[in-house]
Amino acid sequence: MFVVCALLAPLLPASIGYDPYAQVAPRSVSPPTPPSRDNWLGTDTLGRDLLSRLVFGARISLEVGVLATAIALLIGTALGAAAGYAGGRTDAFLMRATDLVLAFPAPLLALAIIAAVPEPETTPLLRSLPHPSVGVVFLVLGCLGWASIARLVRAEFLRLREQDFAQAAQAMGAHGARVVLRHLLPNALRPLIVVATLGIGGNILMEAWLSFLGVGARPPLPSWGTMITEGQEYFLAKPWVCLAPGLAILLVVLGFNLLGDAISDRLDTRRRQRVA
Amino acid sequence: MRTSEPRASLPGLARAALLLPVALAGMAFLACTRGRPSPERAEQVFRFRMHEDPPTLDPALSNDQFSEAVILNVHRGLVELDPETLEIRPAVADSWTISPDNRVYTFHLRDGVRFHNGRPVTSQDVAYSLRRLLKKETRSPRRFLLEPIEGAQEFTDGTSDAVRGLATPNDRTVVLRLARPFAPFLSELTMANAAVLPREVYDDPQKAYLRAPVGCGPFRFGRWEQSNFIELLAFDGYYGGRPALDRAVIRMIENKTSALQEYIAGGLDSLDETPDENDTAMMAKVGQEVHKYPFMGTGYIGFNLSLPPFKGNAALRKAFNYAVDKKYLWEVLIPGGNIPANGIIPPGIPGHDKDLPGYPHDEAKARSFLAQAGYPAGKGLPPVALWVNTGEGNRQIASQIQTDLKTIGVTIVIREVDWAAYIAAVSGTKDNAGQAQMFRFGWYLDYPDADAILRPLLHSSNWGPAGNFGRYKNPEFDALVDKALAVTDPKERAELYRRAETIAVMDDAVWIFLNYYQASTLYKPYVKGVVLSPLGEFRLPLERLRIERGTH
Repeated sequence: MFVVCALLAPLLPASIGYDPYAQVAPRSVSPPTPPSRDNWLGTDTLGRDLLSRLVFGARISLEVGVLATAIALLIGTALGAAAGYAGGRTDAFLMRATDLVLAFPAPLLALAIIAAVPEPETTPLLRSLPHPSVGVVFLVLGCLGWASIARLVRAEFLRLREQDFAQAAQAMGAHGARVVLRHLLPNALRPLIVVATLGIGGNILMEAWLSFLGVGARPPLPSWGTMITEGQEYFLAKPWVCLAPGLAILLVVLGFNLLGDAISDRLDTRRRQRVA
Repeated sequence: MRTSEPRASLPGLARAALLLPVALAGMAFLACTRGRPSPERAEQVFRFRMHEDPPTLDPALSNDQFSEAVILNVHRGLVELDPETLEIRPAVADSWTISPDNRVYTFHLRDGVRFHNGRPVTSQDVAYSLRRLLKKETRSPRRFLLEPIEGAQEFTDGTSDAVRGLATPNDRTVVLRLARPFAPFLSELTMANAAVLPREVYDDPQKAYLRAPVGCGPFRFGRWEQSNFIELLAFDGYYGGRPALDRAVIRMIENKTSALQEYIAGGLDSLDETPDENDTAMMAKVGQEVHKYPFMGTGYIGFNLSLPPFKGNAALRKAFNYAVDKKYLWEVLIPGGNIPANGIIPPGIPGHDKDLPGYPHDEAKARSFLAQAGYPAGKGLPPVALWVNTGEGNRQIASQIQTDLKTIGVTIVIREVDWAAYIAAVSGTKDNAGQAQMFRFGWYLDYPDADAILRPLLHSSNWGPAGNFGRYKNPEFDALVDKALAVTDPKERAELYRRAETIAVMDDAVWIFLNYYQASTLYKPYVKGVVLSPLGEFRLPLERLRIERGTH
């Protein structure tokens, strides 16, 4: 549902006539206006349609969630594989680096790094992205999130490396890259999928948190975190302004977590057998 | 006086985290006030809220409304400004004469004025306090107030041991001689910075006075619990008679929602913020207790005239002005607080020009000026950064301006940072223009004179960090503002200010002229003697307040 929303979002203005940036509330009424037939969820503090912003916000959340997780996966898998396969000094070095990253409180570090890039809109590289301020967020989250993945991949590799099929491949003279890519990685894929699915939820939450603190997506982008901050002042009088994005975050993160659990259950052969 | 209004505030999460401790502190506080044994007469306590701790309690260093709120109740200067009528009234001096050439001011001190430590105030104390303000080591941001006194500069520079124009012929007389006539001089002496201080306290190298100030005002300083409260106690020996209040408690509560809840719960007797007018539930509870009144201040978006794209491009600045719908902003989006501005000098100040056309919202004109500026439909204009300090109100204003400018094709990037980072980016240094291309700012006048806004914000002598953050320099404007200072005829002065304002507004479009402030404050009905001052909600003459609760 959420993914469909995000993908269809660009069609929204054309289809229902609402642009998430347009001030649609009547110019004579102080926003936020309550839910009505034209604006199902009412309007936000600037009189913009809340539902359109919510749907558009799904794109930002998905963008950050997926891309940050992809980056983390890429780095984590590469380093974990190298450590697990090579062992010895390489392993020791990479794992100490991983410990180092894990030892940092990631949210604070992310906050500090993002705050150090005050103007993503004019920073080279980021400038070319569609939403520069969101770009910083997924890059930083991705670069901080790889450590636990690296650990997992290493552990899997240590286990798989000793198994017969891997030993056989090595004995037959396959070189390192081939062993890793053809034999070890595919077998380590299952736990990775689970971790990635859970990671997307985690990163969406993180993005919302950063935006809530004002360092994530910049206005006028409709990030859910930003929307909560904007609605905060009206919490008692007009609760829908911040409850709507809050619920959206809750549902989506819950959804990804349940998905992760489901995949985990499905892939867990031992458990399936027990159930059967 | 510089203000961050809508004020600087903590990031959201921290704000949310504040709610709980504030509520707890409130309960503890109530418990402790209730627990006191009550004498025959109920103790008169007045509790009001401040957003944060005052940055300083040293009168010489004070440069903001929070510090002044405390200082003006603890201290007195030679003269004071009546916060209600804006008249200059006798304080430590009970009378004064001004020479016919407007250069020599002779003050006669009142009998029976004592410091809180019991010592009588003499002319020596006045001289000491004024010299302290001028001294280089004091590093006062408001040293310039005494600049008109003859020999002030030499004294600050250290080339002279005495201030030539400052004399104390006897214990009860102070004579100040100015280098040249300066119309607002007496007004300047009413400011918190010119308070009379006891030397034995303020010469302390340990600077204990920073946490335990001593003055001769109606309240002596009680306690200061950082980030929690400041307590002031009635001074029995006050020359104007002991205040009706026994105690005044200033409570630091950052978040508006928590402060409102605290007010409703009875932990505050007054609150400088009122609920959103659309919040019917809240208005039903406290609507009757809302007091609204205009006060002397102007809000604006400054352009940095030293940075592209605004440098040398008045057409662009006019385009921005026409694009922003100030009427919608203040009458619909954020209603009840402010009046849309047509210029710089707020209503009520001599020189305010209600017929100045200003820049009413006009999209067509905005587009045509944008094209004239060299950016038809915004083409070729890179995103422009608008800086604000953290806070919901600021975010809303900035977002609305962003939306308005988007309609004519201009992209605005909002930079929301904490107050310290904001001020650094906006003020830059004398040689470095700072980073902020545009910034939201507000200014409350320190005394009712157009000079108190035109000079600090736009005169080229205050270029850069001194206050002219936009780095505006127009010799014609400077000359008019300077000339007005030497003129004593009020009509002629007002006319000179009107001409200066017209240049800055209509010719140079130095800012986006946003709003004239209107204050709204909550007072419980049992608080009597309330003064709604055009000088701002924090000009609270506590000595006039009293509590009259019904029997209960």
